[in-house]
Amino acid sequence: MNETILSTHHLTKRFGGLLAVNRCSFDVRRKSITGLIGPNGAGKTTMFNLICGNLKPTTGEIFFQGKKITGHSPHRLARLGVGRTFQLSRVFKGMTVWENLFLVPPPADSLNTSVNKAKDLLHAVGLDQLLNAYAGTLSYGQQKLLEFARAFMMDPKLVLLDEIFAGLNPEETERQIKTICSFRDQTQTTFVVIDHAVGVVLRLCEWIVVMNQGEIIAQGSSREIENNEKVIEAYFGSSSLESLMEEEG
Amino acid sequence: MKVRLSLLQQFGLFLIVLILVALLPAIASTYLITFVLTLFMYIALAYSWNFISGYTGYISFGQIALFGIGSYSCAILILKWHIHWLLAAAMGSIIAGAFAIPLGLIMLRLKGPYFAVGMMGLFQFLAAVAATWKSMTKGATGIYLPPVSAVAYIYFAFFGLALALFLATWTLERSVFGLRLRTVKEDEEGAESLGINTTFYKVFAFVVSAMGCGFAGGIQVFYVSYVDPVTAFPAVLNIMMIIMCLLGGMGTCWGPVMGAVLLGQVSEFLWAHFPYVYLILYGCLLAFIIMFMPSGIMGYFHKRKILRGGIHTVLPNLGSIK
Repeated sequence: MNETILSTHHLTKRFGGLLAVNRCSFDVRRKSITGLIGPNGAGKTTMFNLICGNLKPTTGEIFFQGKKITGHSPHRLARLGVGRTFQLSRVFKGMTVWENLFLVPPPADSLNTSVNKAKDLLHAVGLDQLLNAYAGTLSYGQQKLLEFARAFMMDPKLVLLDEIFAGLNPEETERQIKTICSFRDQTQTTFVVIDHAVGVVLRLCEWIVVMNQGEIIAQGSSREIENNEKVIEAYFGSSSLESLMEEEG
Repeated sequence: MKVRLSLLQQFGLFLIVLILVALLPAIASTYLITFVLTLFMYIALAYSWNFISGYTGYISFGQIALFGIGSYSCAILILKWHIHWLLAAAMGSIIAGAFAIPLGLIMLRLKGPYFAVGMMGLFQFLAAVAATWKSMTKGATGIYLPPVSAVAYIYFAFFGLALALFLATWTLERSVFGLRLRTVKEDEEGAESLGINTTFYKVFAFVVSAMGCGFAGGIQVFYVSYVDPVTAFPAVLNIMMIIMCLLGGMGTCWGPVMGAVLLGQVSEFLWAHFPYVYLILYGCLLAFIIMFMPSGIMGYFHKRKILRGGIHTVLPNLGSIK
């Protein structure tokens, strides 16, 4: 099962004089949880926006399930099976929790299956008591959970999570980690995770891509990354990664 | 206090209104008929504007451009091909709608104030085209049509149009389609990431709005039997349809009709009783509304929980969810 679901090939995005993403190539294996880490301004979110079609790359190609998807519009990619959540939660605040899920165009199934799917998803993230609450009245953490659940309404094959743990308390973080793992096991979904909580990413992800100043500086398993000198230098200058993980608890 | 009518009560109320409307031309004075007729036009225009700007949040300051296209199309069809006026108005509506497809694809790429000002520019541009394209529009001289024999026909035409647009809005409020349309106002990028083709939804709303405006323009041109660039692109009406929507409540089902009826009557009253200062009073009233009821009458009711706020989408029964 080491098949590649997503791969980028020399992906470059230039904003005027700034090279936000510079000739980045990496592969994501099917059913894996891949982490994308790096200091602020490394180009992680730009990378997500390129993959999801929110931005068009300056040069380079993106392949999803073997097909070229460079330059596709976001809604088309979403229908192909690329789901995402955003750095700042993007739930529809003026609609109820239920409406937020229900408005997602179902891939092909009947109304009944999509109702059941929505129920299961809300149950999985623990929002089933808040069906008729307006999304804007939820806590930030709950909004992120709703956004996460909503992304699964389209039966995505690949889900990109942009700072899904930001704003969650430790208890919610643990629950979210469990949810992601169980979703991966049950729905065979592939995840790519961006987060500043390096400790969580190292724990959750089996493969990690490290970016700094628009370039990929290292790729490897958690252990390889922990001991990679380039990575340590990018984050701390010269200190060790363990100290950061201890700080986070 | 909480107002909630059952479906049967709503239907009964609707029926009473329908009967009153149907009987009015037989019993009322010509003045009253023409007044109500104008109200119907206001309602139709307010709903048309509500479709695009109320639901998608793309505030258009030039929706009257499509009213003008409908007016001229209808006038030219009647004059050159002697088509029945109602059919000509319907064709004017279709022409306005067809025009709105490429227009929407281009204009709806602009956001916020750029779209608003862009539409205003477009309406000025079309008025200028109408004034200079003399072979087609007869320029500033205008096109004269045979005068109308029975006002009642116009009255029913405007009523039908207003009713159709109301029913379209009512259906929209209760559909998943409407829910998706609202995502454009809430967060376009978020909607796109869920597989919603926001361009399709907003262009669709724009086209429906254009058809409503175009139809109103067509009926109006036959009613006044004359069209020139000023009557086809009336700046006052352009602003009025926006203000009516704001007063009633943008993006609501009942807001446009409330705003149109209220504002229509108030402006008529002020005009009749204070002919010299009526515009000043009118302005004061509007300032008052915008300061104290920024989300309109419906927004005020929703806030006070007198009416149920938000969306009425009919969702599947959730009784068994827990």
